[in-house]
Amino acid sequence: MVSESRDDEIAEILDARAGRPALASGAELLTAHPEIRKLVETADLAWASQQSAPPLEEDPVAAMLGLVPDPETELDGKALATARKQSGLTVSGLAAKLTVRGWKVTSKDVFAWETGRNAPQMPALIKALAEETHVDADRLRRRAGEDPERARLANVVASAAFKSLAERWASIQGTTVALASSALESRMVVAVHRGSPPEADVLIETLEAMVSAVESTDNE
Amino acid sequence: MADASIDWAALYQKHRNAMYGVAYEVLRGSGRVDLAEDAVQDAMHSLMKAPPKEAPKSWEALLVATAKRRALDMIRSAAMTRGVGYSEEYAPVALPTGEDDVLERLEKIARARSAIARAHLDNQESFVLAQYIVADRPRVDVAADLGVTPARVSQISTKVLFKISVAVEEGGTDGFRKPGRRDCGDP
Repeated sequence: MVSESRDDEIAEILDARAGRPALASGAELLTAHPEIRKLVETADLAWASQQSAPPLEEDPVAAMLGLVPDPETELDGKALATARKQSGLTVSGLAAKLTVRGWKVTSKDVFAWETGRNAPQMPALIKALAEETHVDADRLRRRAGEDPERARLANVVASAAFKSLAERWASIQGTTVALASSALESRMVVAVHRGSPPEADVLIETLEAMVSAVESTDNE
Repeated sequence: MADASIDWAALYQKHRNAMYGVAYEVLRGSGRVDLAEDAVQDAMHSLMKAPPKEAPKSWEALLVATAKRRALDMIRSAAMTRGVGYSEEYAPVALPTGEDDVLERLEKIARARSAIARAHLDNQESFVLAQYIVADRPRVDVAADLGVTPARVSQISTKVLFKISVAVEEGGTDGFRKPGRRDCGDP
């Protein structure tokens, strides 16, 4: 370990940096005392080790290359799954191709994207996926949050048939129409994400059957 | 002319930290770390305009070495503007700019990063490292924040540097790259 005077000498060198490397100051001292030089070099190394690139959003090169996520657009997972299958690639095969290009992507990532989770919004990554699956990049993009199934459900919820069912369900449950509507919507979400998504009229029929069944039970 | 077979976005995302790191280090010699963004941007533009004819041994080395050369150009240019000789500029890591040398420097920086994680610094030591050694804040201010004397900050600082130095020499932990090793996933 170094002595107290050495502490002061090293501190003087560090104090004199003014935005420059520590090795740039105290030349005489550094030449005469290799043990101080070593610690001063360590200070510069420690400084270098803590530097990193600016956030992607503030990096002009990242923006130019399409690395800044576009909050308006995201990968369409279903379209990706279709394109991947059509190009004869497995999930792991696609992940491997992206890795070779330099992307840090695992099979787990691709699987998550295809099942509608963690949809990437990075245009450059969507472009890479399109190139590897041989489709136009626009076919793999959709407006963010624009899940087609959700959009279809929104149409069903807005229908007169659904509103009528919500009123009946509210009456049965002794709750508000808004809460009843929310409950029926949740019931539809479960149906939509279980196997092949049913058509809108089938969804209404299913809800109608459920509401009627409970109504008749109550009447009995 | 951009080469469509090279995924520049993927490469840049993977290596931009290293590119910036080396640019910062070179430009710090002349107190112009604010030019790092320009150096990295110029490096990418030049590579995309004239990509290597054959796949390089390491994309990381090529990208970082190019950023380093651009940063050096900027130091030279700044020195000329101020009418001082290039030799008067202090740039200890500026030369050489060979790709193997660049990888060696990156290896050393990675070793320091890992050493800091392994150095078992207490809260006070971590604060001195972050605020005094790295952020270059005045010692008196750091001392005031810690409620100690500036002389005590000097002692803590030396102790921290000693611990890191020892940990760097011990080395041998995970996450180190071997100089010259081909990048995993390089096209």
